[in-house]
Amino acid sequence: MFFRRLNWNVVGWFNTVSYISYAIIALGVAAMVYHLATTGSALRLGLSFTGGTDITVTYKQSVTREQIAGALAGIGVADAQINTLSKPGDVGTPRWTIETQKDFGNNSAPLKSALASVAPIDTGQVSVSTVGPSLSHEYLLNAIKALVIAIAIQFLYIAFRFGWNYIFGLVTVIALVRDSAMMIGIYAIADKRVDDAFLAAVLTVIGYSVMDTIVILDRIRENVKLMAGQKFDTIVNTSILQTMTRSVNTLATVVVTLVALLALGGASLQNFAFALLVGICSGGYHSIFYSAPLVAKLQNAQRARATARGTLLEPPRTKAEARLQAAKAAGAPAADRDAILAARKARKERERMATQRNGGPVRYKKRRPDSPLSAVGVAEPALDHEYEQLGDEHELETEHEHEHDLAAEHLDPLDAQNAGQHDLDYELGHEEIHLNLDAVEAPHYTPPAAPAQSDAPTGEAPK
Amino acid sequence: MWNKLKRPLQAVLLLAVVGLCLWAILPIQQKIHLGLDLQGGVRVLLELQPTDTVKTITPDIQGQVEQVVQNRVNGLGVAEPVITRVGTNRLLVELPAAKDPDEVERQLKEAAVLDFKIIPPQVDARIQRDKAYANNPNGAYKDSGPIVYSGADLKGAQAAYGQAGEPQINFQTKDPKKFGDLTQKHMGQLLGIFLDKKFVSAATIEGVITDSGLIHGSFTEDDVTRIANELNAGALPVPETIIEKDEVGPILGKEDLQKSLVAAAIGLLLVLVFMGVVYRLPGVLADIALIVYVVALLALLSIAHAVLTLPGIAGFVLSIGMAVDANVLIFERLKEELWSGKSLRSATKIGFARAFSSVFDSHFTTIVGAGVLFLLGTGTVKGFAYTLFWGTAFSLITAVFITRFFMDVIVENDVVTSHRAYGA
Repeated sequence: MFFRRLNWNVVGWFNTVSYISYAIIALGVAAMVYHLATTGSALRLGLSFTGGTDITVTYKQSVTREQIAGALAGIGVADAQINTLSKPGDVGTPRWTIETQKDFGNNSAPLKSALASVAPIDTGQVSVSTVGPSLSHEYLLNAIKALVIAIAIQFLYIAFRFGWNYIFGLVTVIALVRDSAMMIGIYAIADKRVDDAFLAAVLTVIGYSVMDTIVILDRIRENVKLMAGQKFDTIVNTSILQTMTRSVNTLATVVVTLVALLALGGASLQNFAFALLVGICSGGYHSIFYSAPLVAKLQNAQRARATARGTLLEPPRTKAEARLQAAKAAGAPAADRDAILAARKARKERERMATQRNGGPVRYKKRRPDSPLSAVGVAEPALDHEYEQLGDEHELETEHEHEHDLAAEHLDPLDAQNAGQHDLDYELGHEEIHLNLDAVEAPHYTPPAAPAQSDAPTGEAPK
Repeated sequence: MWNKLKRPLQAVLLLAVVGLCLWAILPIQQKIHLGLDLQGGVRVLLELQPTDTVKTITPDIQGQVEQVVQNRVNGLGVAEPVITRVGTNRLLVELPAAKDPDEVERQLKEAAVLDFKIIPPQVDARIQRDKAYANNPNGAYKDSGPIVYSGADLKGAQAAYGQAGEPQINFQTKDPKKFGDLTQKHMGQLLGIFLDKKFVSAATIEGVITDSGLIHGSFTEDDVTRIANELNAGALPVPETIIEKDEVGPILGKEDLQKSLVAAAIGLLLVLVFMGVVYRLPGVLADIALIVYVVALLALLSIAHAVLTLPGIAGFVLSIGMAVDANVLIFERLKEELWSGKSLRSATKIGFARAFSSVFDSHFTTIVGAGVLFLLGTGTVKGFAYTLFWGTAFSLITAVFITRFFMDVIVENDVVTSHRAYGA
């Protein structure tokens, strides 16, 4: 659809995106420091975390803030925040909310009579909630506990989902911490109340953000197989563009419902809807523009490090080749050759099994010629170029070596790899090479039942 | 055989489930119970405080208090009271439609420990002069003699009127012999009555009393009714404090209900329109599945006797937005498969199959958040977690299986074959 045709270099925007979120978080921290200095508390904690009383009263006639404040001072309440929901000039009954950190739970009668002394109160439109000081501590502790547990479970799930893939796990956790930080920061800037509803919003957003990130990471993982041999940045960028429609649409459906809640849900739900809206937008933004590009950054950094190490060991060519040469020089090629042949046999057996189980490799082969993915991949030469200029030399070197490897016909690099002769490239994350070669070898494994290319639109040149 | 019967059977099953759900929720006003925040009422969380005599709150003590609270609440004549034990030392009391929240508060909290003590003349003299002294547990109560009889030994108490029409409390004793011996022994002395260690009244014992007596003091009518109720309900073995209280006026609750229902309806409508416009035919099918989902979730609330609270509605609305995420994932995949040149049938099959892992992830991560929140959240937030949890779990079924069923029927019978109708 729309997004996949865009020629956006999302990966290249990484720095801008991270500066924007750093700026928001920094502003939030600044706001927290400011609040800490002025009010003694970094965040405006709500009733459930501080303890206190929150009362909404509706007067039968209009009253002023001063009148209410005076009545409250009479019963020793000086810290009250008095707000009115009715706007000036509103014809409706004047409704006021009063928040104080004094706990009137055991004795709310004096508070009510003090308020009633200002003007008659409509008792059907009164609401009082109080939380005692001991309970509020418990709630705050539980809130922190809940956050830690939720993050831990999400982390374990991600680890399970991506097979302890260090980069994916790290990226998802960074995204989740960042979303929480963004929400807290924006709340500090807006000076909004952080209460149990905010906690509920944070936990919901964490779930949402992880899910959003997983969908993109899944696509990256899939495309690593489909687009083997391409630059990792290109793969990530393509994956982002492919999943963007989905990300945006999901965001849209959730945002639409939240806006409805925010606009129409009444005062009690507004704080909650606002927290969710901020968090979900932040989650969507981060998973698209931050998390996925971060995967590319981390992968490149990891590769660069590994190459730097590898280069010191084996300057001119790949490890496998060097080892083979060394073996040849030693005059004992037969052993290697046997090992390679054995590995090839084992691999074919494994692939045959895999094909029977779930038709895995076949679908990659089938999709290749007409897949729109390849089109996007080809359309990115400028991008590749740009990255090559940016990238460090070691990385470049490996790329070329790699091509050389693929071109070498006398020895199947995959078999070398399976015989353990290729572990440098293996370590660099090139294990998907064999999937690329499948395209050449696959006819042996295509089950006859698989539908042929009959559905494919004709005239589209295979890549 | 199976292939021929499969779809009709599925259709029958689906209709049966929807029918059951509708039966469970209609008429909706009776079947869906509203929380106190929407219908008005009082919700109080009481914590039992250990005393010198009762050092730890055992489940036994908690049970006793629960019984006393139950009796007192029944005495208040409030409809549908719900009393739940929370943890080992707390009680949650929910009273919808409580008329006078302040009265409830007083009733729940007063220990109603009635003590009979012999008051020495000098103490009595001071009680007459000094009201603060009379009400101070360390004053009159402490300076009087030992407890000679207690409220726990009363059989019953009633509000009544004295000769001059002043309110008073009549009581009957459980142990007439003990009370008789006591009055005999202290004949001519002043027998004082203390309620919660505060002086209430005193009278000179003028004869032997065995099975009944009366308490008079400066009571109002409400006072005697309350005290009689409390005496009948029994004294609290330990004092309680209110650690959390939510009180919502009925008009305010109704207002919130209306507003949030309108918001929910508009949110749902916008999502339905969005799906229909963006995903066309599959989107409309997903809309039908979404409506089934809404009905199913309401049915769950009705069957599980769960109450719908304001945060619960928020969770519900949010889960609507999230429920379609599964469909968005599947339909995006479907479009991709169609673009890659697959036939409608194989694209549908593959689209659903490939999107499933992502769909499962999205639901799982949301369910984890909601589950943790349900276990550790505050009382009000639990309602949100509850609907979000079940909503997400249900939507996994409706968004995947019900949409899948509709799609299969349409695709298999070639009802609509144009790829455009599928958004591709």
